[in-house]
Amino acid sequence: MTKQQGRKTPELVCPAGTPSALRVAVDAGADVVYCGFRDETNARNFPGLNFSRAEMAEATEYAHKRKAQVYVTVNTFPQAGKTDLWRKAVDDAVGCGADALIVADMGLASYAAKTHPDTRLHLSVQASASNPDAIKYYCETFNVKRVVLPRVLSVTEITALNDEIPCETEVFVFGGLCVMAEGRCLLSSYATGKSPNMNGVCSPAGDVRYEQGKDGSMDSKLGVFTINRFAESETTGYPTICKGRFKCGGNTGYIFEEPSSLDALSMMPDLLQSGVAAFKIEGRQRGRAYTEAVVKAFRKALSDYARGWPVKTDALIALAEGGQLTEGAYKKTWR
Amino acid sequence: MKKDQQRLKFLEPAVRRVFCAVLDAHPEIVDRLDDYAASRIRIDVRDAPFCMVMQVSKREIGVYRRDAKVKSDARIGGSFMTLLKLAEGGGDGDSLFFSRDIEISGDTEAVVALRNALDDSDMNIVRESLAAFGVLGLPLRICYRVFQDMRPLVAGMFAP
Ligand code: SF4
Repeated sequence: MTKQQGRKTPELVCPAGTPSALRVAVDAGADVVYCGFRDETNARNFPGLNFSRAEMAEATEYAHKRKAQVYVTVNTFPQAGKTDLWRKAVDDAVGCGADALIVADMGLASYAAKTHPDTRLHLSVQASASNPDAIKYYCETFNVKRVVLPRVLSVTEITALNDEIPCETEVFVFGGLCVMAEGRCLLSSYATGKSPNMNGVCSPAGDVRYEQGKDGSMDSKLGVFTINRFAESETTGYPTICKGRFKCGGNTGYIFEEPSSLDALSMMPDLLQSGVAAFKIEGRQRGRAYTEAVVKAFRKALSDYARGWPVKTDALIALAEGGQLTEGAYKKTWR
Repeated sequence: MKKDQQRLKFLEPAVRRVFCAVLDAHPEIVDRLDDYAASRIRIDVRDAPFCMVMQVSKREIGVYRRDAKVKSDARIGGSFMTLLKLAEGGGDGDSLFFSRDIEISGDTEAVVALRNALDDSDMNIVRESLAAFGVLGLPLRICYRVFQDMRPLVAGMFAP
């Protein structure tokens, strides 16, 4: 039996972009809420989102009183000459009572391991560690206790990985799909000069424009590029290039991936068998109505599964990007 | 048409009163908006004959005819109930955008900041309106409740 298979139910790790969303997540049944500070040290650096230091301390207290935990994301890559901002975020997160730090950068992992050896260290999906050698290196060098796996692995691959590594794994079960090997995509940098890794945001809102046509159509533009045109009757998606529709080889279509959201509800039995320690819900940028609906659905699914009841799998379609859900790489049929 | 003729001044005192009551009850909105509090945002209520343009930093809100040409930095459009849901955190902004229930244009950053600030605020328009109008707020509350209760019925009547 692996270390993960000893757990009965995986932790439900839920997103919060605001204190209000954190309270909603905790009340809806989250075991853990993950969130970040209001600056470029985390990968959801959106206007009006995230936590001040005081809000983080209050939120942690709120969660702890209700037996939930808070993981703080400091998961962008420190920029030369500005490393103090990231180190301070690590120190302040620990000061606010964080139960774990989620980091991506090796230098920051080293700083956190040395400065706060008693605080659990988790490796962010942004580090894109998806093979046993890379993961073992992080565990042995920085005492990383858990790795958040990139959304590029099948369930079979996750099961095999879990048998070979000395730490826990956390997998995404719902939300936006970043289809590239995470932490390595340059599409946003190419179009806007800003990237998730360095600035904490893919396709920053300041570079996005929506233009409504007289015929009811809508163009979405990123930087100088028109990346999609939606007819009046079509559902829309995020303004990321990976979900753009382009003319290519004489055809017009989605050349990377159609707008859709990951939903692993139907894969839950397989993922539980694979030995993962935690289920993660994406969406710190979403509203608290989303947080509440998704956390409740997964909490119910976990409890139904534990009782041997059927798991309802179509509960969340109204929240999906482009009105479509996918099991993504978990049911991978391509290489 | 001249700008003043496009303005529905008789509606403005009541709307401004509720707007200021919301800002007084939720100072965290201004804090979250940060620099975007200075943005002029137009709210197009699709099923109403008017639109509003607000500027949080100046505590200003104007009410105009629906098709009025008014200078703004960004625009959000949707039905009255959808916009209300969005303002009170009862609906997820991204989902409403994906389904085309809301549409936005102009400065996307300002719209995203406003959406996030409102979502965090736990605002309740009825509660805030009552606070703004005192006892006179009671009829508002009754109208709102009746409207909400009647909504499924009315929607059912028009269902295919
Ligand atoms: S463009 Fe798409 S794949 Fe690339 S970082 Fe953004 S969301 Fe991820």
